[in-house]
Amino acid sequence: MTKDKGMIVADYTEITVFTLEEMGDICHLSIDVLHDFIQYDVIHPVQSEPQPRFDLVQLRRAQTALRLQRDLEINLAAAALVLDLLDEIDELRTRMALMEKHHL
Amino acid sequence: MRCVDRAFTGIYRLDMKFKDYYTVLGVDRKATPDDIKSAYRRLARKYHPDVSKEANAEEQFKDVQEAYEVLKDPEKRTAYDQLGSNWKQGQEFRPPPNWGSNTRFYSSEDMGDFSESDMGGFSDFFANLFGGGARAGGRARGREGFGGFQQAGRDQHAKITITLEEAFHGTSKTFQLHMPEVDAHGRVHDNLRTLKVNIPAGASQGQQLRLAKQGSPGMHGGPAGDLYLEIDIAPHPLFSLKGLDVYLTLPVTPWEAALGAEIKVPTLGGSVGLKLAPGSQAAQKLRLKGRGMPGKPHPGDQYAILQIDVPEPKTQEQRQIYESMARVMPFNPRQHWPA
Repeated sequence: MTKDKGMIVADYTEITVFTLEEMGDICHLSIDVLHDFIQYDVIHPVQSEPQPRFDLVQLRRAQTALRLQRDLEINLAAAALVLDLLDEIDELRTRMALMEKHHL
Repeated sequence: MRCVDRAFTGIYRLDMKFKDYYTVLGVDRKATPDDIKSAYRRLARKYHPDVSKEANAEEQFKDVQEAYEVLKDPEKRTAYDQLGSNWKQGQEFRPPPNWGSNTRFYSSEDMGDFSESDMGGFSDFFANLFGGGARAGGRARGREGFGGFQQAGRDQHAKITITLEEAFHGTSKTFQLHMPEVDAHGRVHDNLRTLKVNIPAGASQGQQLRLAKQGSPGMHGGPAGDLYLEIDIAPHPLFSLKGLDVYLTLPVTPWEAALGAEIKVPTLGGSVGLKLAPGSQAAQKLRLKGRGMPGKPHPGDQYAILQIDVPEPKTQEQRQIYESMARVMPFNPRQHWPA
C-alpha cells in the first residue's frame, strides 16, 4: 500500500552545524562520550569560536563509529582508524576510476 | 528480561515468509551459543554496510542481525525451535494456532538498542512471532526520555542522483522516495513521499543533508526519526570528477601534437579554446584554470589529458607519408632499453 504523505523540502543551500549538545541529542550520546570521541579523533570541530561546532561530515563519522562499536565490537581507537581508512579507500577508488577512464 | 503476556490478536500478513535462522547464520540446529556467536561475528564483519562491498550488504546484514537476535536468546530460541525443522527458508508461513496463548511475547524493550535495530528493521516473520509493540494498557517502561512505551522512529537514508551538469550549475528537483514505514502494529508499509531538493552550484559527491524528524514516524507517540539525503553524481560520458577538479580525455592527431593546434574543448561551463603547444606528448595534463567545479576558496580546475590517436593508413599514398616520416625523422622511443 502506498500513499503520498506530503512533500518534504530539502535545501542544500542551508549550512548545518551542530553544537556539542546537539550532537549528543542526535546521536543519543552524553557530552562525556563525545569528548572521548574528540580525544580519539573520531570527530573534530570544524569551528572553535565561540564554541565548538560540528558539521554533517562529523555527525556521520560519529554515527558510523557508534555502529562499528556496537556491531563489530571494536573500541573507539579502532573505530577512528576504520573511519580514516574508509576515507582513504574512497579517495583511492575515485583515483582508480579516473585513471582507468582516462588511460593514465 | 521483562516479558508481556498477551493473547494473540494480530492479523498476519498473507505473504509472510518463513525465515530459517540457522541457515542464515550457517550453523547446525544443535549449535552451541559459542558457535552462534562466532557465526554472527564472522557474518557481521562480512556484511556490515559501513565496511562491506558485498551486493545487498544492508539486507544481508539485517537478516544476520535478526537471526542472531533470536538464536542468541535461550527463550526466543526455544520458542523458535518449537516451530519445528520442517519449514524451509522462504516458504509461505502461518504460525501454529496456539502461538499466542501458550507462548510468551516479548515487549519491544527487550530488543536492545533501538536507534538502528528496532522493530522497524525486522521482518514480518519476526514481528509477528516475537512482538509487535506492547499491548495498549499494558505496563511497560519505554526508553529513557520518553513516556510510556513510546518508541522513536527509525532514521531513513536516501540517495538522490543528479547529473554532473546539475551539480555544476545547481538545480531544484523533485524526487519520489519509497520509504518503508512501520505502523503501530510493527508492520512495514511502503510509503511514497515527494521530495523537493534545492541544490546549490558546486554540489559534491556524497554531500549530505539532514532533515530532522522526516524519517519514520515514532510508535505510540514517540518522536520521528531523521531523514538523511546523500547526493550521488551520475557518471558522465566525457568528464570525471575528483574533488573540485574535472578531468577530460583530449584525443588529438599526431600532427596536432607535433605541430601544435588550437582546439575547442568542452567544459561544464561551455566550450573553451585551448592552445596545444608543438611537441606535446601523450598523457600530458593540460590545465584549464578555474574551469572545474565551483567552490571555496576558489573553483577547481579542468585537466585535459592528451591522448594521441594514430590514424591507420588506408591508401598507398598514406603509407608513403608514414614511410617518409620514418626516413626523414629517425627516432627511437626505445633507446633507453638495455641492448
